[in-house]
Amino acid sequence: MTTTADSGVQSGPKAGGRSDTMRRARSVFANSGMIPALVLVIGIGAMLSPVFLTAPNLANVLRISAVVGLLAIGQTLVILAGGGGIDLSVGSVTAAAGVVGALYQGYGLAGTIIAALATGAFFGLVNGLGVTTARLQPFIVTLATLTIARGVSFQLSNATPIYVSVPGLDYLATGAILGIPVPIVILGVALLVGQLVLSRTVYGRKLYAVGGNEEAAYFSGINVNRLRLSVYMISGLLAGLAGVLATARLSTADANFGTGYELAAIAAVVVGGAPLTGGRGSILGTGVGVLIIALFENLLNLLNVNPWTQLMVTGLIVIVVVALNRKGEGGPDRRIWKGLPLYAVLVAGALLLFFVL
Amino acid sequence: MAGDAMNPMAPGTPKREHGVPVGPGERGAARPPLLSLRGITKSFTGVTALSQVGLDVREGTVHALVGENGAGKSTLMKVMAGVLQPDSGTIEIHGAAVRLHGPADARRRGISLVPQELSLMPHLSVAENIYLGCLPRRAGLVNRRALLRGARQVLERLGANVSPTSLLGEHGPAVQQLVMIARGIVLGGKVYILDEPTAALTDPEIERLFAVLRELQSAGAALVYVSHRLNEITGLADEVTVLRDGHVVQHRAASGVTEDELVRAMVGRSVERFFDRPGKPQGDSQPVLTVSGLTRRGVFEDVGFTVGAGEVVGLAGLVGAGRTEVARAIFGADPVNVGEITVRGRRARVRSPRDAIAAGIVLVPEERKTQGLILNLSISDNIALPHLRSFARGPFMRTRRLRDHTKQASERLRVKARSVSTAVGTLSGGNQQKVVLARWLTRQPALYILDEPTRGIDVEVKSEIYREIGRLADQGAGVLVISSELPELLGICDRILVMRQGRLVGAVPAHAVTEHEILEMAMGTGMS
Ligand SMILES: Nc1ncnc2c1ncn2[C@@H]1O[C@H](COP(=O)(O)OP(=O)(O)OP(=O)(O)O)[C@@H](O)[C@H]1O
Ligand SMILES: [Mg+2]
Repeated sequence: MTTTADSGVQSGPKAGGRSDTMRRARSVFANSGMIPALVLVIGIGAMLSPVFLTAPNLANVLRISAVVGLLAIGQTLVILAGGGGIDLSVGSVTAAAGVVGALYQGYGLAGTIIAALATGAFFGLVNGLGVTTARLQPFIVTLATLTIARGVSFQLSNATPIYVSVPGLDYLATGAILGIPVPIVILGVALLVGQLVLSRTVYGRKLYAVGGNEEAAYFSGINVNRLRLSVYMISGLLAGLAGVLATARLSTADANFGTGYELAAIAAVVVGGAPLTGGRGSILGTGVGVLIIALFENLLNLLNVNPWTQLMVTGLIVIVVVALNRKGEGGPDRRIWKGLPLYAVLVAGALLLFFVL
Repeated sequence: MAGDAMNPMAPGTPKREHGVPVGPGERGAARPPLLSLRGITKSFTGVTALSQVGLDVREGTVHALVGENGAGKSTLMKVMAGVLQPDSGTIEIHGAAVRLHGPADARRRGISLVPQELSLMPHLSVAENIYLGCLPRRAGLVNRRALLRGARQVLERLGANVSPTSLLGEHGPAVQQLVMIARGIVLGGKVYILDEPTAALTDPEIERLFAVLRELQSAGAALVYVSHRLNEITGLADEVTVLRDGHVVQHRAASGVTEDELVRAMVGRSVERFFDRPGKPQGDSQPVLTVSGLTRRGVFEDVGFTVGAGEVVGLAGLVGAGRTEVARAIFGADPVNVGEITVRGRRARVRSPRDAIAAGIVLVPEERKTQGLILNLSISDNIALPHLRSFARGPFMRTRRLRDHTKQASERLRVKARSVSTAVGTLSGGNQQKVVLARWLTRQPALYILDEPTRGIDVEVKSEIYREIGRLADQGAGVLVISSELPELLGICDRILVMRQGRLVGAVPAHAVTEHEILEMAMGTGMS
């Protein structure tokens, strides 16, 4: 009808771009289960625990989720670029980056950071070449890197945690900028830059195109391989940065660090609305996904729920939010309600075992 | 039917023109309706695709459905086949109201659909694709013998020379289209719904298809048929319904209807449909493209030709003659064994589409859904895809500039959509095709390769596209057009190349040759 003409007239020269970004952002959240889930967690948390909504608690949650948050940003790009893209290696690469950084602590803060970032980028390059040049499946390539990077970490650290004492490093864990803890600032900046890249740059457009239809993108002259290589390298770099933050927080580099973090990052991405098939999703969504999972785990902690039950509940939350997210694509998805009995039985069975044994 | 229910207040609602009523002597009216639609309304977010549509499909007749791109034809077909649920209105089978709970339910009731967009499994065999969802079984296992026998029979009936055991993905859209049709036929039933089945086919296949359709018809089946090739309607259909903007604007007997009458009902005015390119003097222009000795073993051999600046060259041939394959090779999408490609006198090393675009060659591919479009991105992103750099300042997109530019480009080809931010996947088939074309219009390459550029596009926009092609050539570009519609090639081209079984068998000036002569060359039956 008249909408086309209206939108052209109403938006002034400056408003044009912004309204477009707004629309895109809105379309990410419209019909998704993310926002209800976030509101629900915060609401329940505020009701059940007096500490939950306090500034120190929230700051603590965010500080701890900085590492997984960085990994989830890289994971978003990798998944978005399609072709079955996934990076299973990020947890191990975080540990490897931490260990290598620790070995270079003699070169000071800069040496430690550069060594860690270079390690991350190196493993990213390995993943990227495996996927593009060698044409292997991302799942397999990054699974191999997961194992290799963990092995490298143990080898280099002789399987013992390395104590790290670099002047200035602890600032990355305990410092604050304008009252905001530094890890939170780093995560926040990474999220903003990531979102900006996806929504406003040429690179971002190409990522969505390649993820949406690789062949059509190739026919349009886009260098698909170079783009895919780049997302694995970014993912590796961010894992390197995560390694630096982890070392700063713990003052040690531990080869065991980050086990299972790749799965946490993937969970955050899918909760944030990106399907594993690629071509859709946003960094903003991933940020919300990280937040939902972190707040939920924190709440369960505050309520003294035992860790095993926590695992079960977290798994269920991921399933429910992802099912709700799917509503956006063509009508309400009844599958979730059909799946519910199954999960009810699962939980009941687990609890039963728990009490019987 | 639908006229009384239309909202007279809605601005721009087309006025219903009363066509020639279906006379009592006609084959159509005498028979009872098998499938009837009453007051069907369907809207998508913000778009009313169908409004109070009524339609009867009678036993042993063909009911044709025509209308511009986005008129609602495919949506109506999907409602009939249970793929979409209408917002309101009823569907009746033999006069009894039914609710179709999905495609499987519709199939059980004897309704089978051949959809407009190819939806097949490229990694399965041709036979398996034909029997997808109804594989013949014995003792719980797939009965391979029955499967192959059935597939071979139906393919033979359609005149498709295809091995049932070959992988579907190895074949082009014409064979895939035939497989879709074959699937509709083996499903059996009483109502066959065909949405633009001939869009990818050439004349001999179309003739075979029509013979099969007539057999079904005389066996008592009811057929619903959609096509933008209006000359097919008069030969095949008993009744015609014309849709415009989701309304039925005309329903009449097909006998005696002229193409012009149909066009006027579809568009609301007369359209000059034929385009005759003023003859260009031959051979005096600089060649923009020279191909020599191009060979891809087993596919095409020793192909050599030139396209001059300002020249429109057509590539004719039957399905499987290797036209698309040559186009893809020139564009760098497929490797070649030997051969040389020269663009504007410079030897071009083309190893990927990226190289080709850099050398000044662009391609509008034949399969819009797989090779052309990113369905979940917007119209504007799709148009801008190959030129993102020119809409950027540094690394950042200049969103406003992008919108303005793409709005212009899509208006030029009359893409029907709410705005350029609409996702391409929600557009009608023809409108998607317009987006693929619009992508390259503003670029000024040396050579355009257009593979079936007007596939699925309505008459009005077709002539618009012919004019665009002429304009591109007048600006000095060379244009290589592949089309299955010979009248189209004869109308817009200066020169026509004919391929047969992977070889170039003729090159003739377009004004000095007839359709018949080209067909003979393509089939190898003539004297040449
Ligand atoms: N899934 C969808 N979401 C939103 N709009 C849709 C969707 N499917 C169709 N439409 C809209 O409904 C209208 C009718 O589309 P339809 O595909 O029925 O047209 P058509 O007559 O088949 O056109 P064509 O000749 O191009 O195939 C169009 O405006 C189209 O954009
Ligand atoms: Mg259609």
